[in-house]
Amino acid sequence: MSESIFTFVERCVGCKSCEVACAVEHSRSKVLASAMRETPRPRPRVRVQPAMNYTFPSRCVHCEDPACVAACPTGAMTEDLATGTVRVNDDRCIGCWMCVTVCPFGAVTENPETGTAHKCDLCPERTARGEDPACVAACPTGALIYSTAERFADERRKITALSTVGVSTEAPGNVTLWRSLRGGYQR
Amino acid sequence: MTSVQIPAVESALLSIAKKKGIKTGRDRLKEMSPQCGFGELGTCCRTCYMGPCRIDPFGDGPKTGICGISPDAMVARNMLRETTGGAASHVGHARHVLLTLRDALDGKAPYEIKGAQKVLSLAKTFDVPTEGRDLADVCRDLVDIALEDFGRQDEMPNNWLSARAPGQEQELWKELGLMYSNPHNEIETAMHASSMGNDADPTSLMMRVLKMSLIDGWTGLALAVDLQDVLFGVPEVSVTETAAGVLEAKSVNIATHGHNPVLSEKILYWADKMDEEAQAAGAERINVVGVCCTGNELSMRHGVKLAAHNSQSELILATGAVDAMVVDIQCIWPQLAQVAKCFDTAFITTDPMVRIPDAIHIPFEPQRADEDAKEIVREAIAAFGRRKGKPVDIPDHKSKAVVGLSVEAILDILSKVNQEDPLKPVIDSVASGDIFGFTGVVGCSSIRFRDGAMTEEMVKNLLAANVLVVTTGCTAHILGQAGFLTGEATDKYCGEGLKGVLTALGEAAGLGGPLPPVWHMGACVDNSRIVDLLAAVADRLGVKVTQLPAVGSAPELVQEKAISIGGSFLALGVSCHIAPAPRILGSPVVTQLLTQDLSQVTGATVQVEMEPKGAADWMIGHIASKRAALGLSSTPAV
Amino acid sequence: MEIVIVGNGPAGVAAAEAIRKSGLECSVTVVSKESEPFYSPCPLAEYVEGSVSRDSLFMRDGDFYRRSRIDLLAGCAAVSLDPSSRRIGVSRSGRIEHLSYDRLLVASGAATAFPPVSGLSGAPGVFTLKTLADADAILENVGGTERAVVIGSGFIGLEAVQALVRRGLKVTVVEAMGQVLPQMLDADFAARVQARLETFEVEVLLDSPVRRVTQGPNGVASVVAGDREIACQMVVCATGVRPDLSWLAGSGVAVDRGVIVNDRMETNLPNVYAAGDVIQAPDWAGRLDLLPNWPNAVASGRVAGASMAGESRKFTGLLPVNAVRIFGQPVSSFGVRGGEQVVAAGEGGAARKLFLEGGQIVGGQFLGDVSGSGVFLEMMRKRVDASFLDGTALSGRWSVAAMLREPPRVRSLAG
Repeated sequence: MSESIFTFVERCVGCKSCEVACAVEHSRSKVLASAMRETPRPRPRVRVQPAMNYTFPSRCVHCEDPACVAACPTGAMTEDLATGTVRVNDDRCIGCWMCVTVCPFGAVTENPETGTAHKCDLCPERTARGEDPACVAACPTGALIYSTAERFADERRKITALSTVGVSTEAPGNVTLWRSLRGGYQR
Repeated sequence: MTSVQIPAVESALLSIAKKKGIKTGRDRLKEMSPQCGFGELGTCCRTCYMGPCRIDPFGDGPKTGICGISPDAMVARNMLRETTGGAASHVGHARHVLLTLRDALDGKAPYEIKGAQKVLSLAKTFDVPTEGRDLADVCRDLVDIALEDFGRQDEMPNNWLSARAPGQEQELWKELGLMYSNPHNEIETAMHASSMGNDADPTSLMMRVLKMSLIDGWTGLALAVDLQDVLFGVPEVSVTETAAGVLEAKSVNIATHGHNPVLSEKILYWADKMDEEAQAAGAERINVVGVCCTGNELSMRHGVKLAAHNSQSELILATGAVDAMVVDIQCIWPQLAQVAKCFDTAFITTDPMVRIPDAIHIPFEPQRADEDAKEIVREAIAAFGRRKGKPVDIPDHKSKAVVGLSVEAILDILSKVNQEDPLKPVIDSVASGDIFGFTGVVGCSSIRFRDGAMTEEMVKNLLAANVLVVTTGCTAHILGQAGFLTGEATDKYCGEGLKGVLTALGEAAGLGGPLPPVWHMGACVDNSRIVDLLAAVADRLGVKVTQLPAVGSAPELVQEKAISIGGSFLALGVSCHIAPAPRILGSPVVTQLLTQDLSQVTGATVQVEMEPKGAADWMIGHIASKRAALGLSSTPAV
Repeated sequence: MEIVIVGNGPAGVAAAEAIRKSGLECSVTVVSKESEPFYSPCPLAEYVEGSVSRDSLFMRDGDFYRRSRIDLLAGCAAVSLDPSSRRIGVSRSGRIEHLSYDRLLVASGAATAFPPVSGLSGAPGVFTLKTLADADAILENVGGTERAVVIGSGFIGLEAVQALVRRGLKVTVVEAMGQVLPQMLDADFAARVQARLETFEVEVLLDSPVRRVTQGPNGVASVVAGDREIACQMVVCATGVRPDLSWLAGSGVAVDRGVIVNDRMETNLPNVYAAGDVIQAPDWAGRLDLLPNWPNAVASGRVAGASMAGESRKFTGLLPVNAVRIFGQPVSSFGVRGGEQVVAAGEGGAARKLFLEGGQIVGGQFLGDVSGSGVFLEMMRKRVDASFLDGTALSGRWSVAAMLREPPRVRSLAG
């Protein structure tokens, strides 16, 4: 089973480190200081968004039977059948935005500078080297992990199991408090 | 949770901005959201270049900074830097006023001493002889006393603190090692102690926070206010109007914005004299209005109309009706210059420390105050010339407001009831429960809370429980705009007890109606007036300030200054409600200290409540516990 | 097992691929009246305009049919269906042949629905923009042409308009209805699209049904629409499409406006399936509808292929979505227009509007900024309560995070 990125939403504190790391990884220089000055501007393919009291790193989940691939009329959006990774081929993309219109996660966006669809590609260069995708590597709280669906499900099960035998798996009290207090103004 | 509508004037201004395609702070907040949790928890440290370091609040990741600093020390260190920023602002403001007074006395700056009464009372406080002396000479002595504080290296107690602060509390501060000498040395020490590789003990750092807050309170607020009263006179009660509806389509509208009245007093003076120039340009008159705390300063002393609190400062520019916005220091959004560019508005910065791209900069120096002020007024008239005939969008909203309630003005009213012992009527009312207690509702206006009318809703709940509210700063604008600064509000919102007291006081003072239930005591620096009032009441009762049935609230915290002001109340023993949460939740130690353990030290704690009703309930409960300790009835007679 | 697929478009090819993916041992024959291998018609306007090459229209590599063991009978139109003998008749180079099937997929698509107007259908100088052959024909004739009239302002019409404008032609678009993009947008957004077209010097004539097309010595001479006669040398007719049902007459297959299928793409006839633009199928809400677009063609083709291969896979319903660009500005819509409106304005003239009924989204339209619009579509499909949406929530970035419901919350710091 191939690996993908999974999210423990309860561990996200909304620092946006993933956004920065993603943009840098998809720059030419791959160095923050110079990436910022590149044209076209490297853009993150993950966006941390408010979700009531929580924050959520919103990103392509590389769906099974992806709607964007079905909707793409130019063959630019493809699914690697071996790994399940969904990627855009910029050369074929004409920017018709059908993929944006059908993505149920809001994870495919328009890149106004290139006029092409824009989404998570699971960092092919990094993963080829055996490294985690940039957002996962940058996440300081372990909210993002690069794993197989099975291992992620195992982790989740472990958390459930621990809590049923009385081991607290809740967020620390101060974090719960902070989340409860920010709900009022987070837009 | 009650569903609350966005205040009407705010709503009108926002729709004007929207219609014109002007982005507002609300739009920028939305773009910024979500905001970083490390920052909100206070556990992001950028003090050195091994960092930035962030503590994983979930415990699997880093538990300390690279240098090994604990999250508790990180939080306390960050808080010390915030507090120092706040204190530096107020001390800088005070020193500017002090130097202006010195130059005025030396004939180098064109200002008169309008507060003779204040000079005499300060002389008494500082044991300066007055018998047979010129007012100017007495004043010079006071200036020297204040100047000594800024130059001393003898570690002797600061003059303004030791002579002005209440005695019992000073004893406590001495015990805790909070007394300070030269404020500049302390600001230096705080920055030093909070830089890389110095103080890493959260308790020690938090004591520094309290000390820095005292500096804010006494060498910042008290010194600034005392000397402003000397220069510009002690505020007296007057009636004015608030909200954006005070702009006049056919007049030259000059909005004065910022905090330091040294400039705006002169603008007001010259605007009065230059009406003819304005009329020659086709205007009816020059209409000076106040924004933020400069607005409060002018309003307190001259009844100038209040156009906008801080978070509305960009919105009133969107009316297109402001010809000049003249700013001095603090809380000036750089965005203002960008909004001004959309119209004929002259956005004028005046302080060398406040330079903003795309602003017109007219350096203001107290020594050349008249020339500079005239030049600024002429810029405004010229801007009116460009605007004349173009459509403007001024909302209709405005509310009447009673302003100018300095401690002196309050005592003046009370003395009409009891000449011998002016505080007695208040104390009797507190004893009877007609006044259940006092709340100082102070601080900023925050777009995070405006749409829910946080301050207004909280105050409604307090008044219904017979809690008398005093206010300063942008919260005073908010409450003014919502109509709380009127006698009508007493009838509308107060419990029977408070209504009776305010009606009696108003009649005794010859106002022909009740006093307002919310007393406008000035700008944010004027929080020292609240402290003076509390100290006077405590002194009259022979109790400590912390024993009073009084509490503070900064319901819409924005500025670092609010942190240091809040700290000065905590040091005094006055508990404070605050919203949003200060950046302490990443530290169990600091959270525990501020919300609980501090009560063992100064008698005060901090409470965070995000909902207006919850905030009011906590304050009422807190007041009840203070009353119980004094042997007074502890259920509000509503 | 012999499987015959009529149609070499997205539905036909998706079905063929699904069959091969299933591993079913069978022969697959694709019958196509066109002579080209599988291409996408969606970028045809860009091809006419010159921004997309002819090569890149083709969706599979040259080896695709051989590798997938698909027999492609190109240039071969289906003309009849006889379910009793399980045969279809096809016309190949003027001769009728018969093909036997064990399972048949009707994916023969839709064709331009010409209005019944004299001098229009088939007349010289009158083109459509549905197939690659159509586009090639326009390209052959566009040289030296100065003025064109596009009939119909649906998305194909407006794409044709842009292609011709970018080719340097002066273009008039005539629309029988009172607004442009009548199937996609409400009048409010349509007016904004019209304004943008006019900025690019396109003449837009509304409420102007075509009355006739006149011919001159050198071909088409003018279009008479409403009370105007517009001189031109080229006409592109884009008056919508209609399923191509003529060859199914007498077969007994149930049709209404299209071939009626269930959620497994089965028709009423045993072993006969249908997919793509030709079908009338359950939409996202289970109502039978005709919604010809690329995503529906691919999705229904996949389901049809799976069903034919004996797999159990259900169609999730036709999606009422469309997207088009108006001189670079993206425009998209889904669902219906009506009910309560939530509106948000963005930067640079961008605007979004949702239509709600009983607190649920029933439609939406996006102008200038379509990001996150798929989330609203999903909220509609999932019937998520959307009554919390207001203009503020609607503006700005939008993702699935918005669908997370509010957890219970404490609002105070216990002292």
